[in-house]
Amino acid sequence: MLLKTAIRNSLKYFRRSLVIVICIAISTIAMQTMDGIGEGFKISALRFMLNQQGMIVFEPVRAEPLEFAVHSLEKYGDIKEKITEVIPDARISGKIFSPAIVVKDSFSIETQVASEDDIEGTVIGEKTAKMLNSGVGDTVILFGSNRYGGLSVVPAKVESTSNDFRSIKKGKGIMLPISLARMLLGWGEEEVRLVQVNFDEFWRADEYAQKLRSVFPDVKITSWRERLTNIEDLFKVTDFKMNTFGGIILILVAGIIMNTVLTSVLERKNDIGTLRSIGASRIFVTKMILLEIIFISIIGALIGTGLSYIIIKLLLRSGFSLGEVGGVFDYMSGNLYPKIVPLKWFGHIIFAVIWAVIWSLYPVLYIVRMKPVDALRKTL
Amino acid sequence: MLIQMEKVKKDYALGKTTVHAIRGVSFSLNEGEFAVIAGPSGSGKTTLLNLMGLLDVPTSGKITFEGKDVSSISESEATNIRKTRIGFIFQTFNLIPVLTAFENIELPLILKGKREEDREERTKRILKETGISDIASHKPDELSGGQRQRVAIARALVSGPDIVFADEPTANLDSETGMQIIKIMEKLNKMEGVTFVFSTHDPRLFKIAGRRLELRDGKVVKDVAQNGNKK
Repeated sequence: MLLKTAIRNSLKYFRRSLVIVICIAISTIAMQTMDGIGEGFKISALRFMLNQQGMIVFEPVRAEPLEFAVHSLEKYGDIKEKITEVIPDARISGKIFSPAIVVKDSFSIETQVASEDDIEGTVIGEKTAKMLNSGVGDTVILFGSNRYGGLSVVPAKVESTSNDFRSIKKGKGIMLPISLARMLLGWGEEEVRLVQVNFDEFWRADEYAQKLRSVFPDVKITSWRERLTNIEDLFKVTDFKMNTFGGIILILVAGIIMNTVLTSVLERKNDIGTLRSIGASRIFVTKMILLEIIFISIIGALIGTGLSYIIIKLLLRSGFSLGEVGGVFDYMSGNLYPKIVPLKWFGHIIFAVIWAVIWSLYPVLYIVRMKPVDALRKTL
Repeated sequence: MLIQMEKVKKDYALGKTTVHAIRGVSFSLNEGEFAVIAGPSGSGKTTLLNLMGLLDVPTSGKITFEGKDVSSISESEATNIRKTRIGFIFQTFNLIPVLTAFENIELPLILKGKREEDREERTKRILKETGISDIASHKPDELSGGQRQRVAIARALVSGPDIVFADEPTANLDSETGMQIIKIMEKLNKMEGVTFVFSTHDPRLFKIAGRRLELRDGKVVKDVAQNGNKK
């Protein structure tokens, strides 16, 4: 009888039921997609780390954009050779990430990514070299127009200076010394320039890192294990962000549910008064209303789960760029994919239902505590 | 003696003023009585029924139900007495809209924890007695006023209460249907021996009752036995 009444009431007061269904669906979607993204992020990140476990990353002690990769290490001469002395099977890749910048009014520069190997050699005129106070071996930034009409920014290594214009690359660009270019482009110290060293014997990462530190004393050298700690911190931050977002939605939803249930029970005050007058206990009426809330919430949670599944599936198609995550993932390539954990999703359904019940308690208790005569006030 | 009222008063706060709805009423009701509380609107009929039906508590005075003081009993005790001993019939029928006539009538039996077979048997019997077997599967909004009130009477009687309070049960019905409803109540009073107390301000209905309590400004101004009954 209670269930029958609950189901029929939820259909009779369809619009109010619909509001609760939508609220619970939104809560469920918020929890499940946030969780799906969070879980996917962790799994993708850990998978990435495991793939990269034989890895040591060089970072500048003093963040020196560009200069680190190109200049600072240069004082060690051939760094590849030095690294190979420590790690025989080292695979070395230098990566330079330039930030996206917007140049005043009309030009935008897309992110330039160049590895150390990609930095082209260039020949500059002697006068220019004198003007720039740069010589052979220095890196300069070439400004030019790209084929899209935007501004291109390319680092280049001065191979030689010459007055032979035939040997100078043709182009409309101008050249600036790197320090000036950095100042003009506003590259701050937060840009991380990395040299990544991979090797097969990943279990020796800490040992290798220790050895490399003695070879490169003013370079920050981090093994994958140490980076894993950073990732765990990042997970915590990610969890916090996700939970905060989900929490805000849950709080908003709670207010709507409470308000809707209060309106609903007040609308049915007379029915509740009638039930109380014919001998229904407070517990009976409470059970009846809460059962209705539970019924509606389950429907809402199931709809929400269905929608979450669709959202996750859509996200799985494209994934998120790792670089967008930020932090230690700045230099990583590839995508993050959301992950569905069925047991957790089931937990979210249960939580959504409990959440609805919790926020319905005040209106329900308010109405059942009312004296029957007050509930019937307009009719008896 | 089923119910005894001793110097019962009931005051309401209405904003900053106090409304004296019942002003020291004393009388008693016996088993099997068919009593009418007559009086104009605002005379305190509904308040008096609420007090007797344990839906409300008096400001002062004493109400006894079968010798037990019920003036200040807890809400759960009052609920229990209402469930087992009292039936209510309302002016606006007050049927649960999502339940069928059968389910509405069956409800008090569910509240009493009766078994399903017992509930079905009793519900069918009372449907027959009130002449509404054919509308058992209909929901309240599919019924006429008279049919709804019959369902309400059946609901009030199905659990075998000692007393049924009916607050202006004919007010929302045309005079012919109203008379039919009172006749059904009278018949059930005689057949089942249930005490009926109903309020009305329809003078035609005064005559049918065995006892007439006239209420004016919260006071019983006349308490007469009629139709050969004794108080």
